[in-house]
Amino acid sequence: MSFLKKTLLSLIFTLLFLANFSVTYAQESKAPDPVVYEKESLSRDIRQLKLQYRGELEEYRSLENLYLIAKSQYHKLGTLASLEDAVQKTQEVMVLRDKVLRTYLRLMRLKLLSQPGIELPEKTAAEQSLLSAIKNIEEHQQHFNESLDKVQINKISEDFEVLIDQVEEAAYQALTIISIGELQTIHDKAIILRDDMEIEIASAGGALKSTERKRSFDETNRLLESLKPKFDWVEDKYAKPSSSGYKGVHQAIEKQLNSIHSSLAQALAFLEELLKI
Amino acid sequence: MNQDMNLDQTQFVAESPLMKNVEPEEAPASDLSADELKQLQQKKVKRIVIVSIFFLFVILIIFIVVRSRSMREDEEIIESEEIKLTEVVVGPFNQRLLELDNELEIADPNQEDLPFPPINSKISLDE
Repeated sequence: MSFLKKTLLSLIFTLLFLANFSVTYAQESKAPDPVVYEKESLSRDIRQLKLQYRGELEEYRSLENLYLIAKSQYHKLGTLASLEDAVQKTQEVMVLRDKVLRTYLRLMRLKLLSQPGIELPEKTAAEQSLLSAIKNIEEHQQHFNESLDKVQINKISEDFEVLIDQVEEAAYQALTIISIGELQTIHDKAIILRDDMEIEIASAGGALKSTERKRSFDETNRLLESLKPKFDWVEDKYAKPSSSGYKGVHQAIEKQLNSIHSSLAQALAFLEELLKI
Repeated sequence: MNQDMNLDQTQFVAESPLMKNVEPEEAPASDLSADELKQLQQKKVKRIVIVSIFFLFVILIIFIVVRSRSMREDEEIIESEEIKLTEVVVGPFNQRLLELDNELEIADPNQEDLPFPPINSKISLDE
């Protein structure tokens, strides 16, 4: 190879390297914010788990239908073949039921962690309940490592009735606190927005508009302030669950949460109107 | 005219060196041999090639630096234009209100995104 060719080739390689380096450097210069990165990663995990959960639930539904058919056939025919089929289908649907519950609880945990507007001790307590329920489901799943007979299946079925109570309790605890947290976050943000708007636009547009705006701001403020006792009531119910547990709390506060939701919608409509004055 | 148009271009290019005014070659210096002269000429060519490659290299580096800088500036301009556009069309308060409306829609207690799974808790082989 001639000297000229060698030089030209080395020049091309050097330039390619330099061009690549400049592009890489430009990309790396935008370092991600760790908080934003964590939030994004959490919402990505939630999306993936949600897809997994929906797929498993769908599969469970079709297996449950097959189990019901096999069970009905067994009770109708009473043959060994129909018993064998029923045992197999029951075991399959039980395995998938545990799987669905485990994925659901993991999903609830991620949703709980990503939800702002919840006090840290309440969040930690709800997370602990979820983790404990997940652990119990995993222990329950181990029963299915070997093939079972009719007696063993009925025993597992009895055990599950105890397990499901704990799972439901943990799930409703998380569902309730997430619902409260969502509305609490919107309430906090609406108050901040109202304050910012008052600072920015209260005095704009002459005396007549200012008076009109002040009345509107006062009305919006009254509405937002009226939600505080409602939140206190809801949080009090959550802190002291009755004998019916968190499932009972979830049902008991539903009406109040609906009322908070519609008041917040009205407050946001007021703020939107205020921007047009 | 037709004759001109029918000219073979390949032949023309091949013959072009012959048509150039060839200057008479300089007579070799009497005190240098033919080999030495050839070496001197090669050295000269090498020097010219190295210098021109060096200049080309410098020009290309300047080009890359200027290009990456202008690209960064363009991105910044586009970003700031997008922000301005959002502020003009929606306004910062309207933007925040829109976000709150979306959050409120998601937080509707009547439409829970992930209710407890509808599973059968009484699966067994007994009737």
